[in-house]
Amino acid sequence: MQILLIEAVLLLLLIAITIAIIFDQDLFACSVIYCAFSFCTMLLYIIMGAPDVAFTEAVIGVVSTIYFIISIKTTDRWCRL
Amino acid sequence: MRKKIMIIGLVGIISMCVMAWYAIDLLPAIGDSQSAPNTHISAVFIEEGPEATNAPNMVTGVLADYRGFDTLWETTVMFLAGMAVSLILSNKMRRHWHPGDFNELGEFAGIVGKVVMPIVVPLVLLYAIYVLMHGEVSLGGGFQAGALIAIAFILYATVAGMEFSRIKFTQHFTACMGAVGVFIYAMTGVIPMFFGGKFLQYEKLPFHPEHVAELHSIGILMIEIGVTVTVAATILIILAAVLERKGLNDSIK
Repeated sequence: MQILLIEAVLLLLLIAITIAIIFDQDLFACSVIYCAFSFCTMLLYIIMGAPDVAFTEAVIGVVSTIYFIISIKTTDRWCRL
Repeated sequence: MRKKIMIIGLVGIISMCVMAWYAIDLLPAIGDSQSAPNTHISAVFIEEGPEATNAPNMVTGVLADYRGFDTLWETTVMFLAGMAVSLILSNKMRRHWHPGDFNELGEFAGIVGKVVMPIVVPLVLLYAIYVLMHGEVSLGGGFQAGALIAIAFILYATVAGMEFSRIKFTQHFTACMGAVGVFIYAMTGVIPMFFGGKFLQYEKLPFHPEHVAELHSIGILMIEIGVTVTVAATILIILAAVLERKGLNDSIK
């Protein structure tokens, strides 16, 4: 039961993070929040008993965040509609 | 021109959907107890895997030994993805890039990069080698080790700047590196064919350890070195391509 509760909290966090990314105008903040998304996914993988996938997710989450930030440096930080 | 591309893309998507519609009946239903994975394949992997492949970590045993041919083409797909990114972003214009605004002492928000990075970067590299060498025993493997090596270089470039690194990870160099990784993997498969084995049959590798089962560990280590080189090269080629491309505002002008 406890594991199910933790999973439910993490899945709700995933939904909340996605909504925050959609409605955020600051792309820099978006990429940092996306790192939190991959962290929650990593915890979910650990709970499901797949530590190999969790390790990959942790490493690739860091790499993709670095890429987003580097890409933002070459374009514009604010998303103007 | 744009309309033609849209039509071609639409035709491709529709034909893929039709093909998937016909192929989806061939797959077993989710949770079907009579499907092939649930009746005999998983049981064989779980019961015989650790002894047959000499790999206590079952994931690595399946990935690198039973499914070695799949992983070869996955590595090739990684390499081709790096090539594609390099080609798409290849309108070059060198620009000096620094991620943070350092002052003249090399401080960024109170952190002296030249003190912190010599501690952090060797640890990351050491952990990458550990993950690579213990691929068949504990977590991780070639993919994670390659990503960690790339992260170590990115951390170094963050502090010192790309132009100060001894090894210039340009797009040409990283492309050759990725090709070398795929070559190491494919050669590990081809070598047993000269000694009377099949493609990727690790028992026929020309080494003579104490037990024949250790040849599986040697073969898994060899292909994981190839995967490591390719993954590190792919991540670094994307970095080089992003850093060397024109800014969006330049292309509008």
